[in-house]
Amino acid sequence: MEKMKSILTLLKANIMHKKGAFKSIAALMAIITLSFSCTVSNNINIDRELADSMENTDVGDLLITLGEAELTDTVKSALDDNNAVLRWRADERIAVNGNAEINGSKTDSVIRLAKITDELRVFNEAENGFEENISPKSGDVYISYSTAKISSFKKGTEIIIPTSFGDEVFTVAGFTEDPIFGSSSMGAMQLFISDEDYDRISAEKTDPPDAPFKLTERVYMLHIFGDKSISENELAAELNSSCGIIDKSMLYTTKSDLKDAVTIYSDIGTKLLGVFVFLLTMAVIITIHNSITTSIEMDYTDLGVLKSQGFTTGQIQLTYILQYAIALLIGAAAGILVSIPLTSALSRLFMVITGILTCGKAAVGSCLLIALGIAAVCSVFIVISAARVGRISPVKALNGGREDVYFSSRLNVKIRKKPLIFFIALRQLTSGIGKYIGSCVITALLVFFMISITSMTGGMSYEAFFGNLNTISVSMMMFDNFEMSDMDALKADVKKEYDSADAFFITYYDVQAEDNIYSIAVTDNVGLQAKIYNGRSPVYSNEIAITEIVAEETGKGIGDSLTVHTDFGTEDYIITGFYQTTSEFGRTFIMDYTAAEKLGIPVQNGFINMEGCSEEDINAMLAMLEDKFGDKLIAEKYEMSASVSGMASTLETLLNVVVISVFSVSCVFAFLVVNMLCRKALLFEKRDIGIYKANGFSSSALRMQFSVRFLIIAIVGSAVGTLLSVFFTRPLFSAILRIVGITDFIGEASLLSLLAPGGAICLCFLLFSYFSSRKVKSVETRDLICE
Amino acid sequence: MKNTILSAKGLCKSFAQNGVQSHILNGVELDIFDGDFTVIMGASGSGKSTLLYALSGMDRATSGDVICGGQNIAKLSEKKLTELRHGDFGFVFQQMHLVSNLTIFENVAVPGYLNRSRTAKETDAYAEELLEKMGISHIKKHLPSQCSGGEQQRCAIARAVINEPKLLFADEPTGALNKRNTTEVLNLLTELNRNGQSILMVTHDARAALRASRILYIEDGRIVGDLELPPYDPEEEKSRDRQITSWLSSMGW
Repeated sequence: MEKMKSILTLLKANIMHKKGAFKSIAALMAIITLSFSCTVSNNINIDRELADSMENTDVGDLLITLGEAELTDTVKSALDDNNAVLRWRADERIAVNGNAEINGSKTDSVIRLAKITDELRVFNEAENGFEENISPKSGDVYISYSTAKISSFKKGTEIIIPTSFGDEVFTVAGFTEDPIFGSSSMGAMQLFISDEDYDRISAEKTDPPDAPFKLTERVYMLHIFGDKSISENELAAELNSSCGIIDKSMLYTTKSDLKDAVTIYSDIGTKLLGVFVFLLTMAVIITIHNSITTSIEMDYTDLGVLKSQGFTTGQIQLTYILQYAIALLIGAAAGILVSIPLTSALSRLFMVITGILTCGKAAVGSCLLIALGIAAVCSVFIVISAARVGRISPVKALNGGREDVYFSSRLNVKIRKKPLIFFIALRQLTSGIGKYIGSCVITALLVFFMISITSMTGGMSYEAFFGNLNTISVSMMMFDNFEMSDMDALKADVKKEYDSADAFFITYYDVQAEDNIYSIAVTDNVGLQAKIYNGRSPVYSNEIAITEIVAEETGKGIGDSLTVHTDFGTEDYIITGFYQTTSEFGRTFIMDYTAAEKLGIPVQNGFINMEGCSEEDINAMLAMLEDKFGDKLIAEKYEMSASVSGMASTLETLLNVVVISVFSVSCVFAFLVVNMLCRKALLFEKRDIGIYKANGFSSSALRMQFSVRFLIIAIVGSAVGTLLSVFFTRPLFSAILRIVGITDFIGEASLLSLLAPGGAICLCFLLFSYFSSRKVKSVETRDLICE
Repeated sequence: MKNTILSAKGLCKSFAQNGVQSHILNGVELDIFDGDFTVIMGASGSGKSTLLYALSGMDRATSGDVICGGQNIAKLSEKKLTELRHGDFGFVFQQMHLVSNLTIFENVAVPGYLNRSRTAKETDAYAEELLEKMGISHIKKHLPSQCSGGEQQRCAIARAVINEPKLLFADEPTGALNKRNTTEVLNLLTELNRNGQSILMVTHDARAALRASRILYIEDGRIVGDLELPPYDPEEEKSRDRQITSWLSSMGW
C-alpha cells in the first residue's frame, strides 16, 4: 500500500514535471481518436439505419424486375418449388423507359413509379425524422431524399413523365427514405405517387406487353427471400438455371449489393481512415518511444537516486506506463468528445449520399473500445521503451554517469563558414541521429499518406465513376427492326456529317458464369469502353475481357475459357485481358456484339451513343439521323441528368473534405511532434545554446539552426515518404478501392501531387520548429556561470 | 597615459530570494585599461564573478553603467550584445564549456566564422595558428570528451581570442585544473597579455594573481583595493608573491 502511494506520488510529480510531453501525447491520441470516431460512428449509424429501413420495406435477398409478360406460371412455380426460397412476393411498378423531364431538364435515370404504402417513410420538415401521416393528392410525387438533395430538387419541382398516351405531370410533395433506389449510387429513381394516379396510369397510360416500343410498361419487382444456407448469388444462379429468371429480368440485384451500393462511400472512407489511423498510431508509438527514452536519459541521476532508495525497476517502469497510459486515455476521451458534434455534421453529409435518415450520434462505446485497443497496443511499446530503466545503475547515476547527449557520428561533415547555420544544424543532427530517426519515419508516413490521398482524389475522376457520360452528345434508342448490320452505315453517315464524331453501341445483359450472375457489357467498340491493363482487348467473337473481381470469383485467368450461359444458349469464351470498371462494382465483363450474337443475346435492346459532336452541330446531326434512320431509332440530344452531375459535385466535395482533413490532421500532428522534439532538444542542448550565445551567436540564428535541423529531417522523411508512395500507393489503393471495382488504381501522378505534400510538411517542420524553439531566447549565458 | 577600454559607474546588482533582497554589487566604480592584465580578487561571495559578468554583458546589472567604446553595455539590446560578444569581448569559463559535438578545431573556428572581416580560409589558418600557440594542434580533430581539462581550457582560450577581442574576460580559468595544467594556462594568458591582449580575470588563486599587472580587491560589492604591478617576470616571482600576499593581507584576505 505504501509502495503504491509512493508510485502515485512519483506519477503525479512526473506528470506535473513533464506537462508538455503529457499534453502532447494526449493531443496526439485525441487526433487519432477523432479521426476514426466520426467515420466509425457514421458507419455504424448508416449500417443500423439501413438494416432498419430494409426491414421496414421488407427487402428480399434477391430483387429481380420482370416485364409483365415474363412473370409466367413457370417462373412462379420455379419460385414456389425451390426449397431454398423461403417466400417471395411481386410488387407491381410502372417502368418509365422514356426520358422524364425534371425541373425542365431531361433525365436518363431509370425510373419506376410506385404506389405509396403505409411503410413509406417521408422526411419531416426538419429532416430529422419522418412524417406521422401523409395524405397524397393526385399529382403529388414523393422522391428520394438523396436524389432531391443532390439534384437540388425542392418541394414544388415539376416532373413530367412521358407516356405513349400523353405526358403525366407531377409535383414533388416530399422526400422519401428508399433503401432500394434511394441512394445516389443507384442511378435509378423510384417515384411514389397516389393510388389514384398509379391505378389510372397503369390502366390507361401503359403500353401493352407486345408493343414494339414501350414508353411506360407494367413490371414486377420480385422480392425473393432465400434460405440462409445458400448465398444470394448461388440462389440466383439456381433459379436462373431452373426458369431463366435472371435472363428475362430487366434489373437484377441482391440485398448485399444494395447495401454495398448505399454504404460504398462510407466504406471507402472507413478503409482510408483505417490506414490513416494505423499510420498515425505508428507515429504515436515512435513519439512515445522517443519521449520515454529521452526522459530516461535526462532523469538518469534522479532515477538512480530512486533506485538507491529502494524503488525497483518494475515500479519505476510502472510510473512511466501509467503516465503515458493516462495521457492516452485522456486523449481518447477528448477525441470522442470532440467527435460528437462532428459526427452529426458528417451524418448530414452522408444522408445526402445514402438517402437514409441517420441519427448522427457518436458510437461512444465502439469508439472507446477501438481507442482502448490502440492504447493497449501503444502500452506494449511503452513497456518495451521503459525497459531501459533496468539498465540504470544507481552508483553510476549518482556519480553523474549520464551518457553524453551526443555520440561521435561517422556522418560528420566538416563545418564550413557558409552557410554556417546549416552546417551546425547538420552536426547537431548527425551527432544525435538516433533521436531524429523516429521523426524522420513519422514524416515519411505522413507524406506517404498525404501523397497517396492526393493521388487518389486526382485519380478518382469523373470518368472513373461515371464512365464517359460527360463526352456523350447524342443518344439513340433502337427499335426492334434495327439490325447490327445497320451500325456500319450509321457510323459512316455520322462520320460524313461530322468528322470527329463517333457512334458506338452499348447494352448490358445479365448472364450466368460459373454459378454466378454477372452483368455483361456488349459493345461494338470494346477498346473505347474498357481500358485493358493486362492482356489485350477481345477481337474475335469467341473472346471476352473480364475484371479481376470476376477472375477471382470464377477462378479464371487470361487464356482460360469461361462458360457463359443465358436463356438463349451457352458458349465458351477465351479470356483475353483484364480491365476495371466501377459498373456493378466490378462484377462484370465485356464482349463485342458479335460474341453476344453468338450467344443469342438480342443486342437490339441497346443504346447507341455518340461522342465528339460539337454543341452547334447536334441539331444537324439529329436531323440527319431522323432522315436516314428515323424508322429504326429515336435520336435525342444527350443531357446528363442532374443527379449524375450533382453526384459528381458531391463526390468532388467529399474528396476535397478528405484531402483537407488529411492535410490538416497531418499538419497538426507534425506540429505536436515537432513541438515535443524541440522542447526535448532544447532541454538537452541548453548548455550548448548558452555556449553558442556566449560566443556571439544570436537567438534568432540559433532558432534558425533548430529550424534547419528539422527541415533536413523533414526533407529526408519527405523523400522517403515520396519513394514509399511510388511503390505502395498503387497496391494500397487498389486494395481499398477493390470494393468499388477498381483493382488497378492509377492515381494522379503529377509533379505537384508528388511534391506538394512533402513541401507542405517541410514548411510545417520549418515554421513549427522555429516557433517551438522560442525558448532559445530565454537561455542566458549566465547559466554557464559557476559561482 | 593608459587608454580606458571599459569603465563601470555606480554598478549595482541585487537579487531577491525568498522575498529577501541581497545586494551583491554596491555601486562599483572602476576603469579597465588597454593592455593590462587585471585580476579581480576577493573573498568567496564578495561579488567578483557577478562583477565580471556584469562588465562583460553576460548578465545585466540592476543599475549603473558599463561603458565600452562609447556604448553603455548595461543598456544594450540583445542583438548589440551578441555583436559585442563575437567582436569586442572574449570569454573563458571556469568549466571550459566547449561544444561537445564539435572538434577542438571546430570549437575554435566556429565563432571565428561569425567574423565577417575574415574569409573562411583566413579563419581556418588563424585557428590553426592559435591551436599551435596553445600547443594543442595535435588534438585538433579530437572531441572535447577525448581531451584533458588543461587541453580543453587551452582550446577555450583559443576560442575566446579567435576574433581578436579588445578585452578577454576569464572567470577562474584555472579553477577546475590541476597544478601542471594551471601553470600552462597561466603561461598562455601571460603570453597573450605580453602580445598586447587586455585581460580581465577573476580568481581566488594567489598564484594566478601573480601574473597580473593590476589587482582589484572587491569586498561587499565594492572595489576597496587597487594594486598596480610591473609586468610579470618569472625571475622576480618570489618578491612579487611577497608583495601581493602582504597587500592581500592588508585587504583582509
